[in-house]
Amino acid sequence: MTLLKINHLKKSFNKKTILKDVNLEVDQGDVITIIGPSGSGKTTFLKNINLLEHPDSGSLSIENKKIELENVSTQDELWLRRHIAMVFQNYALFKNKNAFENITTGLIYGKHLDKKTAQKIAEEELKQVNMLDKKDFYPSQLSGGQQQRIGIARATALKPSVILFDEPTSALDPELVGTVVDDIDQLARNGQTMIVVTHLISFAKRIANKVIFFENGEILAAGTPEEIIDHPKNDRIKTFLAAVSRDK
Amino acid sequence: MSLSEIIKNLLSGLPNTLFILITSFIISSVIGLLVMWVSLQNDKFSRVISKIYTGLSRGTPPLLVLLLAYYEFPRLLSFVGIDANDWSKNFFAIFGLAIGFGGYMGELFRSAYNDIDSAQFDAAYSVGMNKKDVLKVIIIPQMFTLALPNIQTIFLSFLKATSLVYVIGIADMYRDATTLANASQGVFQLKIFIVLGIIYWIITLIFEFLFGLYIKKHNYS
Amino acid sequence: MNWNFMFQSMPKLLSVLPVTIFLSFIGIIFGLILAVPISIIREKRIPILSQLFDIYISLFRGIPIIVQIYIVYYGLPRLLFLLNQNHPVTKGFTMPSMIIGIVAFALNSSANVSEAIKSAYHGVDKSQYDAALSVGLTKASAFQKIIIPQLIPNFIPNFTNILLDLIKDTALVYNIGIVEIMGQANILASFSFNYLEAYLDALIIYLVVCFVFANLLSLLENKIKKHVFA
Repeated sequence: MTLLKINHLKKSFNKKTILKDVNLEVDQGDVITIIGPSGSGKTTFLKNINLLEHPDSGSLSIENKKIELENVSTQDELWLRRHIAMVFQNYALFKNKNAFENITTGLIYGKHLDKKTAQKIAEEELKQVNMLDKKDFYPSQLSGGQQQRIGIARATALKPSVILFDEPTSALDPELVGTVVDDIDQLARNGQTMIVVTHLISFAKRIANKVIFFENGEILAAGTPEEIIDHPKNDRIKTFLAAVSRDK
Repeated sequence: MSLSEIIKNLLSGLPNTLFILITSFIISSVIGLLVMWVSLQNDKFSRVISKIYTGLSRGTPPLLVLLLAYYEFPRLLSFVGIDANDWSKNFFAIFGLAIGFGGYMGELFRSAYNDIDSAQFDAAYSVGMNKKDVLKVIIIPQMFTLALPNIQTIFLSFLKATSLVYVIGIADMYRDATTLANASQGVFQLKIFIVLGIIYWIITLIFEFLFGLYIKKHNYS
Repeated sequence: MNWNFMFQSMPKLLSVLPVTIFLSFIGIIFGLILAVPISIIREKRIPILSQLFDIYISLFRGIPIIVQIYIVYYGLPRLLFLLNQNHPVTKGFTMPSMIIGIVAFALNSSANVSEAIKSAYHGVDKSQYDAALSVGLTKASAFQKIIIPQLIPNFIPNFTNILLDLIKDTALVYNIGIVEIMGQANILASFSFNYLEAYLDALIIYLVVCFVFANLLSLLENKIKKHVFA
């Protein structure tokens, strides 16, 4: 069942085309990983989906609602963000809120839940990521890995249809990457629909049922992990994967 | 009096304004570097002294500094046996401003120095440079680049402070303006000060532009 | 050095300290009130208005304060007169110098405070705003709950500098007839030419006042930081 459909997403900035004409269909339970060189527009693509940046044109349908992306109304924008959540590269936890409040803030002010319900949900989420004992800690008192796990909890607490991950492990020290990767893997196994931008190829292969290669503002190829990563047909993809594996 | 005549009259004080500005700024920078050096020493006494000077510098109105310089300096110098009664007023203005702003300059250099990554020192020493060279070739240039935006701000503060040297009777642009204003009445006085204000503003813009160019050229972050 | 004179003049100078404090505080408060909408307009880049205010700020930061004071001194009565030519109040109205002082300081500090707000605002990580939006907060909520609490601790150090500069700049208003510390010092000194002693007294007062306020605001900054960021 198609959960999210993105049609003809286009974005330019200062006469430069950043997203050429991006189309994507996401089914319920899909875990889509996006790989590709830096500067190809992967992050911009994600930010255009939950409207942190505004597309020039295109449309998006989710949960049987269609939204034209040119001049979205504030109402639609807020509605959209209740169904699509995001996890950031540098965690972006609210610096002036502790771990617990980082989760309740979105529930109370974004989803408009009452305080008690929000607190109950926040407790559940923290338990899930094993961070309940850190609930009163502020981001400055937590490690990168801990912050990211709370960042993930903040997103899952909203019970969104889709979660967007923007390079969730890039800012982490190598030994912390494993925990976060496992958490995301677990989410995938639980059926959460996700779009993950990552540069970890093995991670991309492990959790995904669909892999997209993104370059120069467009989707160059899409398919199963085997098709794209194990047996790439496109020369550009072959070169990219070779370069990435050289770093190991 | 026509507009161009007003402008001409005021601009006659400009050379002196610029002279005081540049000399006091240079001397103050030297004082600032000295203050920075003292503040970085390891003994408590040095650090206390530099803190006291900085505090004095930041708590004293520039006007007061100039007045004190004019009245006090000759006295101080006479204790050392120097007769300063005939010295040019410009001298007191320049030293007054230099000493008055010295604390700010010291703070500026100190924070620029602290902003330099400590790994820079390690790297420089590891290739065999001695302390003097490390400072000269690596540290001071970086400090300078980091400090440039703040240097620009303080330089412009100096420019505005030069308008205060009138209190010791020096002929600069501001003094010309008040002389002119006192000799006239009514709307004229307003006009004179507006013109004066615009002249200062334009000079500020010119310096901002020049600093901007310089900063762009030397910015390697 | 006439210590006796210094000792005796101190209380007389302190008696006008309230004038200095009043002038600088009222000035900066009005400046702050003006600065907020100015900053918002500049950040939003509202056409024409934001360019005008950019020039406004450039003017007030590029012209010496003494010149600004005189422009207001000569200009404000004129302006009021032009606006209200036959009103019985403005005709033949001599404006109290205090009002001129307050207006001049309010305008001047509004420019500096606006710049301080701008740099404090840009000092907050942009991803904080994105994160707030991404969990569904409206723009207004994001600002109120996340951005502004983080902006304030950034803002205080710059605000402190502006306030201290303003207190020091009050030393100039004796030129337009307000009797504050410098004015009083000049008056006291003129009797027997004890300028040095009078100025040193004044210096002590300014130093103490600046020291006290610098530390108070620093304490405030730390308190707010603790409250916001733990």
